[in-house]
Amino acid sequence: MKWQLDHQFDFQQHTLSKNLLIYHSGSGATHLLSGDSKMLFKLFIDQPDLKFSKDELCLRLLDIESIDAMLTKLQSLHLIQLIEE
Amino acid sequence: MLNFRQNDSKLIKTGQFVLKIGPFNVRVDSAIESVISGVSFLYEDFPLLANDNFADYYVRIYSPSGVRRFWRKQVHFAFDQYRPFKPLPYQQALPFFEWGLNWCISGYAHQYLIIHSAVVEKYGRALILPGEPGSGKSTLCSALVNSGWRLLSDELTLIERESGFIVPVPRPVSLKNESIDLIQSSFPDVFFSATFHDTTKGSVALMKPPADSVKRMMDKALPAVVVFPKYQQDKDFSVTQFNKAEAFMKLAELSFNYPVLGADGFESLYQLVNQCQTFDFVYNGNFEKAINCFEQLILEASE
Repeated sequence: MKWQLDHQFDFQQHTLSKNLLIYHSGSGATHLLSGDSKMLFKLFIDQPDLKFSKDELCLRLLDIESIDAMLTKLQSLHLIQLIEE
Repeated sequence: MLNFRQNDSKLIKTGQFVLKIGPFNVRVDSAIESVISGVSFLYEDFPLLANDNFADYYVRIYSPSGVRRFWRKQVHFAFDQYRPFKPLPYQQALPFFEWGLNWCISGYAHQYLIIHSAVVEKYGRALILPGEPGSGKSTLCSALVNSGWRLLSDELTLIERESGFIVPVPRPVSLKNESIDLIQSSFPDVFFSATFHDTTKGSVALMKPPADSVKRMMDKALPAVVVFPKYQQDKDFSVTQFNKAEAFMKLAELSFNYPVLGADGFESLYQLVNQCQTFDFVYNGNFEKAINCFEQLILEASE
């Protein structure tokens, strides 16, 4: 199982005061991501075609403690999706 | 274009006229004396257009027929013959006109990003004061416009989506409860409507917009500073920088049409916040201190 950007939707993004603002074209919602969740999502949105397993994410983002909770949160916002390899 | 002051009073007495208010033409239709005299007084300096002009909003204030004409008299607000609200007591006809017009603009003028905030201008730069009811934005706004700032709007900040400029709609400032006495005693030369009691917002009085702000209502202003005011009588005065991303989210929440505009709204709001300094502001009613502080902020932003 791997994670990747949710390609069903378009996103617009801007950085303000080191936080990431995301406009989600599907829900019409705006999300404010900061700290670890911003770092995690940046990985996906900056490399939209890449897929990451949880282990790969843990290796890349060593400082993030609760990566599971964060992945679930980003998935619930339809920002990333879980795919079967 | 003539204004109320210069116009033939016959036209005004008919209760049917077209007012130019900022970028909007508003057709007013009312036979209610308090509306005619109140609008003539508060909008005295606004241009009156010929009655065959195109109107963006057709606003009618009238008494319902039937028993309500005599018993606990009421008043209706209609926009293009559609009545979006339940009737109000007859005595509240004039504030009903103001509230109804706010509703029309905030619900239909989607060529702008509209934020629920007061906005004033000095040195060509706009200071935006967003806030929920009770935050003290109208009180601060009236103190500022009576101290040399230009009124752009007391309630609706209209941001031109392509240019990012703020488009003035310098309508009367709506003051509530204690702030009515506070402003009347601090600025005794300012003109007010009568006070309307027992409205859903408590007691309400409308402050006449300064003639100079009306005269310059086609002059747009560049947004420079956003201040989120919070009136707290028992707290010390404070002004602190506010995280821009959080300011963005707060402004999106306070916008009337951000969700309607979708991705365009996101871009317009980003442009606004990116070009402004954003602050949290707690004040305890000391206008002098507040005005000096805003003067400083706008000067710094203009540099």
